[in-house]
Amino acid sequence: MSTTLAPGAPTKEQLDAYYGSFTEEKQKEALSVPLRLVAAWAKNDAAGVASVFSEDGILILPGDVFKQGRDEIQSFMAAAYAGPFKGTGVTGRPVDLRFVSDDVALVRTHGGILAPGEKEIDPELAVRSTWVCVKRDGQWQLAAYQNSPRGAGATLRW
Amino acid sequence: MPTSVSVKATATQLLAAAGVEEDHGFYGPFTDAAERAVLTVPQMIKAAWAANDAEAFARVFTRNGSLLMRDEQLTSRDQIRAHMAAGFRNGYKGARVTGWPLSVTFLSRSVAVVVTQGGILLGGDAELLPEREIRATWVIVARNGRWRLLSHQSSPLRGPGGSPAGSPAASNSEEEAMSSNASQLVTKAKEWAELYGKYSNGVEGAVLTVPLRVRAAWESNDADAIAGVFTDNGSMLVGDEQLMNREEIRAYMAKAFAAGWRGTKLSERPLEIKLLSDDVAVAITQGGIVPSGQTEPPAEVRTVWVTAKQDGEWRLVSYQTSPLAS
Repeated sequence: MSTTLAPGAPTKEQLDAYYGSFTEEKQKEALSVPLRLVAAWAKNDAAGVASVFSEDGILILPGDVFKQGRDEIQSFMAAAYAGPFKGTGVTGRPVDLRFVSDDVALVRTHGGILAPGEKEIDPELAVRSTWVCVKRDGQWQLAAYQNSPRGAGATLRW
Repeated sequence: MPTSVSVKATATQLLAAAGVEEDHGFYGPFTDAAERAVLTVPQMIKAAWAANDAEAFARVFTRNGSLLMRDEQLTSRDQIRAHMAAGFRNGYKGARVTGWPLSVTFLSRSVAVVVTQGGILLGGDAELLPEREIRATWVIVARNGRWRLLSHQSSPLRGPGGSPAGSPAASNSEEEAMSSNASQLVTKAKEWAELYGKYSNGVEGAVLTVPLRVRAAWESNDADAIAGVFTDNGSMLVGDEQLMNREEIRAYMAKAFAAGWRGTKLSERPLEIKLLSDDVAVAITQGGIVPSGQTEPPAEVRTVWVTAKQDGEWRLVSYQTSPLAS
């Protein structure tokens, strides 16, 4: 079951549902990365999505999508939001979180893109995501994001 | 990249200690000693595949290492060993992997992220089949003076059948309104991806987002969105009209979309992309305006898009078309 965060700032209940069993402060800090990305996507905000990444962040999606650096990511997302991702949202929940060091965390989520108006992930769009998060200057950033299709019905490729 | 990393051994030493023959061609452009040392990890994985050795494969991982392979989610070295042992007895018997590094990024002295491209060659494959091509993310960590694999995930480059478009979605049953929305999105995403042509990634891919954004905005006959792709002083030469800034462009397009260009689409394919500097580029496309209800432009034009990167985003500085036929 996934948690979709409604537009606007999430309520405490929604956040607690999202965090699930990851209740330590350190864990919640690392989870701010996917939360910020979901919020930026909800507004189809390309610059906002890019700003979650580190300067040399990496984005890999199924299909031929390999973007390096915030600028490539921002341009790619701006085009996607003008095209097939227009009006989409994205959702997910954390299923694994491990700290590689105090400043590097590996988060895995199960989630997917939501077609405009949808609140639940369709099997065709289900993905597993890996978020490599790094803490720089006191802020958690997304160093690398990758997702791959989850389940037999998942067909989304670029 | 940090000036020093916590693993001091060289790639040659690390591979020798693991009993793996060093592949000097594997490193590609990553010639720094620290980068090469990190890249011993994919080399060890390759060697384990070639030997169909599940124990050697699992040993590359940390104890809590995690492997996401298609739909298998393995979250410990023991699980990984068991899964690969079973695999090498069955479907992976005689299989090997190929791959090459695309990027190496150090997150700290003891953590690196590597991206590779490649895939599995099953027993009977003569070469890497398009439908088996993947890109993988490796999270590699320093452990006891060596680099070890904490996490590996791969994403397919293509859909089933090897074609970029793949096959249409599973169910289109009318009762399943939800799957139909998703199916449409999947189809649109695939069509969109093909528009990038051979310029999918890198700076060229980023430059190409400019004509693609104009195309998307044109499809909605959205004058505001088209003007929004331009820089403040962007200009557009349309017929005999020289439009000199965003506002003039917006006004012109709004009138056009209400009149002669109502319901039209822009269809362009990329011919060439030239970088003039780090943040200025020229893209040349060919195609034209497709009349409402049709699929092809009546006469093709060549379009020059001068683009510039501002605040991280590529934007349109100038747009001009020339007819192909005289």
